[in-house]
Amino acid sequence: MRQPIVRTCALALLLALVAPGCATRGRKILVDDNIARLKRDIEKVQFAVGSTKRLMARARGKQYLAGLYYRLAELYIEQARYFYLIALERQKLAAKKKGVPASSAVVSVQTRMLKNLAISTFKRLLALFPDYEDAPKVRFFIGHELRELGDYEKMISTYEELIEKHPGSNYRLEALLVLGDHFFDKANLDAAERYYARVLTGKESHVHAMARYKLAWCKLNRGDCAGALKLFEAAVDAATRLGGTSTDSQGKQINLQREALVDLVYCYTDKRKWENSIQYFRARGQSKPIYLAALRKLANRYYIKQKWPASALIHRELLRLEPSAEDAVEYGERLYDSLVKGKLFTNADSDVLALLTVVRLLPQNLALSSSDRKKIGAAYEKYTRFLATQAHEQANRSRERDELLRAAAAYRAYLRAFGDHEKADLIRGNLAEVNYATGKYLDAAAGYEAISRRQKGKEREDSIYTAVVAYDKALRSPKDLSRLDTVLARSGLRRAGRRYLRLFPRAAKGKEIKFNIARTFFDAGDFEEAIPLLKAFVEEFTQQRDATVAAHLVLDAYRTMDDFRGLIAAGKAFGKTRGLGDATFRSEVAAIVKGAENQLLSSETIKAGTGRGGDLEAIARKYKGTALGGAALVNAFVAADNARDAPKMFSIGEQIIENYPANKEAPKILSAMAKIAMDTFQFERGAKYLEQSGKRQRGADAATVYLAAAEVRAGLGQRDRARRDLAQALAAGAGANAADTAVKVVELDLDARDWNAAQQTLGRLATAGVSNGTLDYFAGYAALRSGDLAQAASKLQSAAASGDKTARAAAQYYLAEASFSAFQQQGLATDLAQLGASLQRKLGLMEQVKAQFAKAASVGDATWTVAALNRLSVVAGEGARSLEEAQLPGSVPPAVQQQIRTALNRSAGQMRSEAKEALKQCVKVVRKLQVMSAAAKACLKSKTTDVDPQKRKLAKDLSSDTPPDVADLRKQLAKNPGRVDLITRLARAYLAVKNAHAARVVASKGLENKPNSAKLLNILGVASAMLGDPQAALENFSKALTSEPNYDFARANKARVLKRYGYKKEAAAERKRLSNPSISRDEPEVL
Amino acid sequence: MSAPQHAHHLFCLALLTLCGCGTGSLSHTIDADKLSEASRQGQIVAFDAENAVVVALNQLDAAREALSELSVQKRRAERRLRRARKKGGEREQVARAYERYIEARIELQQTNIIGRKLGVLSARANAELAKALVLAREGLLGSRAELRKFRDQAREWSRRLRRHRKIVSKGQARVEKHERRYWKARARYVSASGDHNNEMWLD
Repeated sequence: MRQPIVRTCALALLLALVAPGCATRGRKILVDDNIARLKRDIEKVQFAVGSTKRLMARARGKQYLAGLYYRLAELYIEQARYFYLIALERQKLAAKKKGVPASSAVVSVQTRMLKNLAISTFKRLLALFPDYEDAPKVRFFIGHELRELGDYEKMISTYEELIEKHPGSNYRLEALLVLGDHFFDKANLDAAERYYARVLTGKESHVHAMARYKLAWCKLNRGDCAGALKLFEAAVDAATRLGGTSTDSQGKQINLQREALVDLVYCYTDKRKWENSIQYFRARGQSKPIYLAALRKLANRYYIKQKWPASALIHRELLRLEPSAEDAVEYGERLYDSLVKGKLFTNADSDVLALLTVVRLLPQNLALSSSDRKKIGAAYEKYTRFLATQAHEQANRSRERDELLRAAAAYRAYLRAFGDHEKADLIRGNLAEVNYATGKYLDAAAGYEAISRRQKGKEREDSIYTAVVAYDKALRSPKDLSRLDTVLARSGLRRAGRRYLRLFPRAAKGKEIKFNIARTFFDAGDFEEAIPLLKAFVEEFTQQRDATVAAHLVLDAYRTMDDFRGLIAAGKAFGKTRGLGDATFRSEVAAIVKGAENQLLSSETIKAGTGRGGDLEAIARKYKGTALGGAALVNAFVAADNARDAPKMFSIGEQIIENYPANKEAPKILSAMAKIAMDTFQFERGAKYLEQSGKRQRGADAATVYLAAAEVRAGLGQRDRARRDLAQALAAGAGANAADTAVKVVELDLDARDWNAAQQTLGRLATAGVSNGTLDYFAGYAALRSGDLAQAASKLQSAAASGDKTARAAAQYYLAEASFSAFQQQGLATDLAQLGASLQRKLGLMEQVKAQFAKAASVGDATWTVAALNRLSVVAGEGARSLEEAQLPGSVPPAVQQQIRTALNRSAGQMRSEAKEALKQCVKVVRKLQVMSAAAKACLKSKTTDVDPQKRKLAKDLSSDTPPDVADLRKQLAKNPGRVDLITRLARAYLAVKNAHAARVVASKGLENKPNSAKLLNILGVASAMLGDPQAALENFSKALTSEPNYDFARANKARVLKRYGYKKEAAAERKRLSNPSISRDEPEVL
Repeated sequence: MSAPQHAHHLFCLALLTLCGCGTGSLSHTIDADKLSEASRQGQIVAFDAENAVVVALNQLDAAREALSELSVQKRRAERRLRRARKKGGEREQVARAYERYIEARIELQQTNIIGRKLGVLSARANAELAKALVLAREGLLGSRAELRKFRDQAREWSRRLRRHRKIVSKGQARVEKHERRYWKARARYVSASGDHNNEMWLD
């Protein structure tokens, strides 16, 4: 395997060596070739000359003959040129062989001869064709050839002829220019100026720019810089307008714009201000090369003149324009030289940038060796460092902000180029200082932070601390910072601050740094971070002034987060912290905490109200025993009230009463609880709350509440409690409005035949000035029953004179009863002498009683009318009986006795008739008004009765029990207090346990929701009947049947009441209408 | 029961609230096609009710975001604990207390998120009820029993939400307890070492 590889390699090497030899060698262009080519050209032209001549021979007399002449002259000129070029090539060749430079002077006989031939041909043309249209051109060419032949005299005369004969031709201006140049070359400036000036008098043309340029040089040569400058400027402007290049009088192409601009530099430096030079040349230099060429000359000129500011300006501009690497070094040196010599450090930023261009271009400068490049780079590091620091020093002296900013820019430029240099940290420090001084705190802070990493000891501490301060200052001017800057500044402060704390944990400045770190989080809205830091700050520096600021920030943070619980806890903790702030601070914190408590309550109450949570009870639990806890419970109570959540209201209300008995809202809460209890049919509970509310109030408020409680108690038949509540109301100042309640309370005592209790209450009422007809009647009645007849008479008379019909009737009735007692007690004398008088008195009393009962009957109250009529019958009967049973004295003769007895019997008979008539009248009224009372019942039986109408016949088995198993019913009612079915069930339950009072109250309240509910009306009727009010019972049963005619319970009850009070027919009629006659009496709502 | 166990129980309790009665979604919804039969005014009412769902969803997003922020704090707490372990003593206890405090906050936030999910479902149930009411008013729903289903559904989610709030309240109390413990531990450490910087300023 090895041999083939070696062979292949050898072959490849051989091919590589041979291959170049096989390639076609490039042909060397020799001078001989040029000469040969020129000779061939001459032959071609010679052929053309011959052809032209043959044509001319054939074209005699033809119009185009002039053109052939012209063409022939041109061919001669062309041929002459070829000969000239041949001579030139040969001269170059000879000079090369000799090794000397080729001379520009070339001698060619053929050329001269051919040129002369051309001139003579042109002249023959003009002679043969004097009106030839291109005559100016022909003359110009003649002049041109003469000039080349060195025959200047003839040339001048030829051009003068042209100028004279062809004033409108462009060749005239060309001729003038050539003549001007001729004299300029001859140093005949006057003549030259004349010719140039003649050009300028003509219409603006392509030669004007050149004429001005030449004329400017004339002026320059004369030392008239101002004039020269104007003409150069005009030449530049004209050349700019024309564009492109111009041709001089010798036919050489030149860029007139460039030449004029460069040439005017000399005069510019003398006549114009250097400060405007950049603008001046930039405006006129149409391209970068032209501008650069002018600047280059200008820089050189100023540098030579040692005009340092100008030199620096132009060199700076040159470097800015990215010159070649080689030029850059020169410009850089000169710039630095100018700056240092002129002590020009105010534009250090631009200068450093310009000098750094040199450094940047150094790698491209192949003319320099590597070591030279390094040396130059090192030099420029020093240059730029020197310039920047000089600028900084100067700015420090002047304290001018602009100068400081330039120094900062110079430092930054330096650091971009030499960031790794050993001196760079020094410059960074300087830069940070400048940034700080100019208010660029963020940059300053970053700078200090960066240099601190390379420092040690005190320097490092100062740098880190200054960085923190700078970050802080940056953050204090938020308008100057973008959002990113703000974030950077905050994170920078935290970073630098923590570094400081880590490196210098015992330093006194730690306090300030900690505060600022915490503050950055606060300002950024990152309260979760800020709060613990600020709290820690307060803990550590409790007794220092900033601690109170930190504490306030903590509270602010909590408030901003709407974390009122946190705020309260922190505020209270601050309030308890010993040594933290003064009394003012503590009062401020207390006010804040108070406000937070209110806000917490408000927010939670709003939430609770909108169903979005809001755990006020949790707050109450947490702050139990405090004002906040109490207020939370009150608000929770209000929320529950708004939500009609009765169980919650009771639960919260009980908590308030138990834990905050002195809460000023307690009475209102108790009243509200009472109302809700009433609304949910928990009357006894309601009365209890009212009593508790009354205990916490004074004056009219207490009186109102106690009166309400008394009313409820009375309704429930709880006469002791009702009496007590009424007494409390009166003691609290209840006035006339207590009368109605008092009637109900006293009525209970009267029903219970408890005259003492009734009189006690009535005595209190009288002391309190509470009275009305009914109360007077009750007082009279009670006094009557307890044997105090005088009091009874007094009160009954008052009642009888009152406006209350029932009271008036009743009072009148019992006044009559008192008289009736007197009548009954009035006996007849057994002594004949006194018999007449005693009889007369008795009959008088009887008339009085009758009159009083008649008066009672006439008041118009059905019950009392019936009772009075029945009593009238009794009185008449009693009168008759008295007369009939009168014992006559035995001493009276029998005949007289008979006469007297007859007279008495007659009178007794009349009285019996009156008694019957009264009963008839009573029956009539009873039938008419369907009165339900014992008297009515007696009347219907044509009997009299002794039953006291005021005495009610209560059911024997009445109780005040609460029915079992109504808790759930109550809960349901609490949620739906308007549900009649539930109310009916509750009322029925009360009836079932014979609590007629409660049943009546429940049914009455239920009827407020549904006034025509047959079931409730029936229950109300049953309760009324049980409580001894058959009239009301009948009325309710009737109403129930009106509402629901087929309601058997009501009908059966009605029948039973009717029957019980003697209405047998009516009762039978009602029973007949029963759809189910066998109604069980076990049902509670059946009597 | 230890603190983490307690927290775990709270979280489980919260989860049970969410999933309490079967699935965590609505049983009764109104079909969009059916709603399109309603009047324009009715549709506006229904769409208005949907706003509450959007609000609830926003709150859920905010809660999730807060949880992710807390996870950053959790990592920091772990870092602090690792560092403090090397020193041992009171400093480790401070770091441990801090970690527990953050854990309690995370648990609370997780519970909050469940609450927010319940809030979304409750809001949806209310929105469906609002739609059902619109349809019922316009005679498009059918029987009254149908409407009752929506009422019951809304009531049930509302009830679960209320129940969940109590769990959140417990979690809040737990966070406060751990925060207090952390500050106490730190106070002990500071008084013993005089070092105010570590475990606070030098994170």
